[in-house]
This record gives sequence, structure tokens and C-alpha cells, in this order.
Amino acid sequence: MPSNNFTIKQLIELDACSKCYECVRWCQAYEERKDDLVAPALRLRAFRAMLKAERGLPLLRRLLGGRKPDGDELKAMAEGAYRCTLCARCAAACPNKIDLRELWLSIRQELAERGLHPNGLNLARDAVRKQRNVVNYPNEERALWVDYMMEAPEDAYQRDRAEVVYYVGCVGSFSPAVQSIPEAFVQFLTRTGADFTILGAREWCCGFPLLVAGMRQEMEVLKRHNVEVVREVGAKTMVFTCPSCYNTWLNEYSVELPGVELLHSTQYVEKLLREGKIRLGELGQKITYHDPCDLGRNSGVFEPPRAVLRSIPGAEFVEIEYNRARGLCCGGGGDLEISDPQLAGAEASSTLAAFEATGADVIVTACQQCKRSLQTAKEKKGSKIRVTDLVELALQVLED
Amino acid sequence: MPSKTVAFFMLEIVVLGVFAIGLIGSVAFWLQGSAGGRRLPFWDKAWHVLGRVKLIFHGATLREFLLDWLLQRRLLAAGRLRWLMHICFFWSFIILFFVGSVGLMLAERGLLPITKDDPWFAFVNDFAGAMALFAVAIALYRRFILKENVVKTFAEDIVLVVLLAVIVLSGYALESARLIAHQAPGHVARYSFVGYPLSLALRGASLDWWGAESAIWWVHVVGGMSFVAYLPYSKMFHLIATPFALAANTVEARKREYVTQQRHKDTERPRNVVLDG
Repeated sequence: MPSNNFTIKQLIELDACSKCYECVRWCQAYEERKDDLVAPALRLRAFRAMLKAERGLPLLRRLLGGRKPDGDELKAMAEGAYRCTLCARCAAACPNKIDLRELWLSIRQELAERGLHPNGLNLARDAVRKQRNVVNYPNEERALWVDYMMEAPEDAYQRDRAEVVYYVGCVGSFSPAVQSIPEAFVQFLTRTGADFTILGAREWCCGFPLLVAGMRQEMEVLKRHNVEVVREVGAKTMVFTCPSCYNTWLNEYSVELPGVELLHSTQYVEKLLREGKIRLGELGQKITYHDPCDLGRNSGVFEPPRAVLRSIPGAEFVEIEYNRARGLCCGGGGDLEISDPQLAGAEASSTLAAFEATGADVIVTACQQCKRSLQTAKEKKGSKIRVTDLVELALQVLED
Repeated sequence: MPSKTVAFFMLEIVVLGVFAIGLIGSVAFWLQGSAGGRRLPFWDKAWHVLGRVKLIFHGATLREFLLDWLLQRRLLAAGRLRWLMHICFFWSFIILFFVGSVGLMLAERGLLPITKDDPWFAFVNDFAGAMALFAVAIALYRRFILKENVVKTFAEDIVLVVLLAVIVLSGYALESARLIAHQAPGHVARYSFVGYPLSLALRGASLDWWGAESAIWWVHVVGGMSFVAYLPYSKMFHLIATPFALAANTVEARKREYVTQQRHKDTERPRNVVLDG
């Protein structure tokens, strides 16, 4: 029996591709590699042929879909499928509105079930199974970053009950390169008088890295635990500085938590600003904004961060040529850093170069992974442009 | 029954059979998918699909779907030249198939009051043919001169362009041969604004124009029928699949918007009600 990984809609979408190659034009991975099996339209064509050769009316399989790929071909197709950040620029550009990101996820699910995923993803899966975080550190150290803060409260921001839960995420919690983001955000929350808590060791990975690896089934246990913890805290609002966690909670968890408002940190800051609860001070710099894929294209949050940046007095806000739905990817998504770190680095370098062309002093983003990727590319290049997260900037210019 | 009619009828049966097999095969493939992640028996899946289809018939959703399908707004965002090419392909195909082919077939069976000399019919068919040729020219220009976006040219791309060119060019040649053979007067023929000037240019040639009309007719018919038979097996099948995909994704986007709005409303409710509810 064929797998349950594709919906009827998705199988129709495979036939709806007109091979116009508009998706290829926007694919940064293809731009870097020029590899046919990375090109979205050709990737789709290869998997369509495979599925048609395996499914449907037996007499027509050969006629409609061609032959089944052999082991080497399938391996090459799998490599192509994982050389993708799932940034969904292809989906935004598709004239036939094909939901390509969802298709890539289903294809990865199919490949992982056949054991064709990169080995590095098994390590990530095992880490989550054992330690409940994707980086394989003891989960008790999840809030260790608080210990390094100058003025952390005794409870280390971990309270039994609170109005707001700040869900930090694995990368923000464990990666020293971007721990400045949760540090800035807890200070921001404190200075704005929020009744909030972080979850510390009670926080488990949201499952996003496994979802994009094609291991959706691994998420269930994480989901049950995380939802339970948020219920225990009795929060009305959850805030995320990680767009991937935000996207996962929004799409996979939210049904379990009716009445709990899920906000990305950019939305939270913008809300306070709109309600007149905070004021931002002067910043005499030229700033630009990088749309994180999982926040912009994949969650539809484009305007709140821009509203915050435009409201900073003295700051000159400039847009990069490709922004919002056509925004560039930092190369850090879709587990690409695990399956092809060189490609991830190449994408980050091209994106950084495009931002440098705006003449901005600061690239503001709203994602720890984007910050990390762009920061690494910047250091490699020796560029002078500063990369920061919106919450860091908001804290910097926050007026008492 | 004349032998030409019998041969055409038999060809028609074969072509429709080949087309139907391809279509049924694809629909059977589609229905192997899950219904929103659930495994359902075949008829329940069909019912699920119909349930989804009806959601498209809803004010703003329907308007958005029709604009994306019939005017191809998303392609316009991709570039004017490619939009112009595709809109010419799309509408020329629709007109030539439904008016020039099916319409004429129905008229010849006495089911529609149309003749080839009706001014509107002659004009519309020549216009659609010109649109198709214009689209082919843009496609060739983009593929081989601009080399824009094109990653790979497959055999089917060449077959389709050749088939389209054969259909349209033989259509004009057929119209010219018919006008010459039937000695159509200028005030009748002039609405075929391509076929008529062509007939004026060719009329001096010493040919059996009745025989030529018949031969070109077969070229045109075989070209057209080949296109129809090949459609479910080629990338042109997107003509049938795309409206379904567009409709499904338009409905889903609307649904997501609705759920987000409802969520927002939920969070406005008093906390104890929310938690207890």
C-alpha cells in the first residue's frame, strides 16, 4: 500500500506544474549549485515520475509515469531534496500557486521513511529523543545562558505561573553566538513590566528540525509535553524569538491551546508600541530588514517588524530589492546546515552581499538562525555591516 | 456514409479513448492521496473532494480563483512577456478547441447554427490562430535567444511546439484552400484576416484546390487529434490539473485567514472562560 504522505491536493499539484521554471529563477540553492536535482521544477518532475511509476492504475503506471528510479537515481534525488532550506521562495513565485513547501515536506517524509535522508539528521533525531533538544546538550542546561547575565534575578526568569511564556528554542538556548537574543528579550520583557517566565529545562524542542527532516511522527511526544507545560503555567500569551518555533506552534500546536495568543517577538514589540506602552529613542543609523523565511513567507508576518523599525527616530530605514514574499534566504533553514553546510554558507554570503549593496549600517533580522548565518558570512568576509536581532535593537533604543 | 467521415469518426474514437485512459489514470493517481492526512475508502475520498470543491463557490474566494485562473495575475507578477505568451497560449487554446473544433463539429451535426463563413466565426478563429503563433514566437524567443529561466529543454517541449505550429499553420492553409476551392467572394472571405490574404497570394498556383483542401484538412485534423491524445501524458496536462490546484490552494488560504481571525477573537475572551472551555 502506498504511503499516506501525500494528500489528494498534493498529487494534483504534481500534475499542475507547467515547467515554467519560475521557481528555478528564485531558488538560491540552484543559483549556487546549478544542479538539476536542486532545481525545484526538475525536482518535482523527478518525484512525480517516481510516484506515478509506483501508484495509480497498474496498467497505466508505465504510460503515465515512466520507470521507477534505481537505487543511485533515488539517492541523487534524495540529496537534491535535502539541499534546500525550505525557504519557500519557489512557492511564492509559482504562477500556479502550488504549495511547494508542503510538497517538499511530504517528499522528505517519504524519503525519510525509506531511509534516504542524510545521516546527520539521525543524530539530530537521536539528540531530541535523548536530550529533548536538537544540539544534544543536557536539557537541564537550557537556561544556562541566564547565569552569564549581569543582572539576572534569583529565579532566573523561571516562574511557576505567568501571563506570558517566552519560549526560547534550542538554538537561542544553547548557541553562544546568539544567546544575546534571549538575553536582550528577557531584559526587554522585564523593563516593559511583563509578567513572564521562561521554561528552562521544562522546555523541550518544538520538533521543527524533525518536521523538516521528514520525521513528523517524532513530534507527538514533544508536542504533548510542551502543551502540558504551557497549560500548567496558565499563560495567556506565548512569545517566540525563533520564527521556526513560532511557525511550528502556530501550525502544529495551536489547536491544543485555544485562547492562548501566539506571538513572535516582533509582533509583541509592535503591539506594545501600537498601544503606546513603550517609546523608542534615537538611532542615527541606516538600517535594513531581513525577512526570516519562517516568519515572513511561511507565517505571513511582514509588517510588524517594519512598523517597529520605521518608528525609531533618526533611523533611516531602507528596503533591500528583494523583500517580503521575495525576500532572500540566509541559508540556515531546512536542516541545510546539517546536510550541506557549504551550500548553506554560500547562500549566506550571497544574501549578505545583497544587503551590503543597500548601503545600510545595520541588518536587522528577527531570527537567531538568520543572525548566526549572516554573522558567520560577515566575519568570513570581514564586512563592516552590523547584524542584529530586532529585540536587541529594540532594547538598545528602549526609553524608560 | 462517405469514407472520410468514417475515417474521421474512427480517429475521433481512438483519440478520445487514448485521452480518456490518460485522464482516468491521472484521476486514479490523484485519489491515491490522503484526504487531509486520513486514509479513506475510494468513495469517501471522492465525497471529500466534492465537499472541498463546493467551498470555491463563495464570493471573494471565487473571484480570486477566477482572476488567477482566467487572467493569470500571478504570472503577470513574474514578467509581462511571459504573461503575454501564456495568456495568448491559454486563450487561443480555449477558443480554438471550444469554438473552432468542438463548435464546428457540433455545427456539422446540425446542433449549432454556425458556418465557416460566419464573419464572427472566421474572425475569431483567425485571431486565436494568430495569438497561438505569437505565443509560439515568444516561447522560441525566450527559450533560444533570451535563454530566460529555462533550465532544460525536454523532447516533449519540442513535440508540443511543433504540434501547435502544425495545427495553427495547417489551419490557415486549410482556410485559404477552402476559400480558393469554394471561390468565396471577398466580402464574405475578408473576415478571415489571415486566411483570405493568403488565399489571394496562392490563388494563382495551378493546384487541385479541392484535393489540396482535403489533404490539408487531414494534416490539421491529425495534428489537432494528436495534441488532444497527447495532452494527459504531457506537461500540457496542467491545463486540466491547474484549476483544481488553484482552487484548492485559494480555499486553503482563505481557511487559514478565517482560523487566524477566529483565534484572535478567542484570545479576546476572558481567561477563565477560555481555559474552562
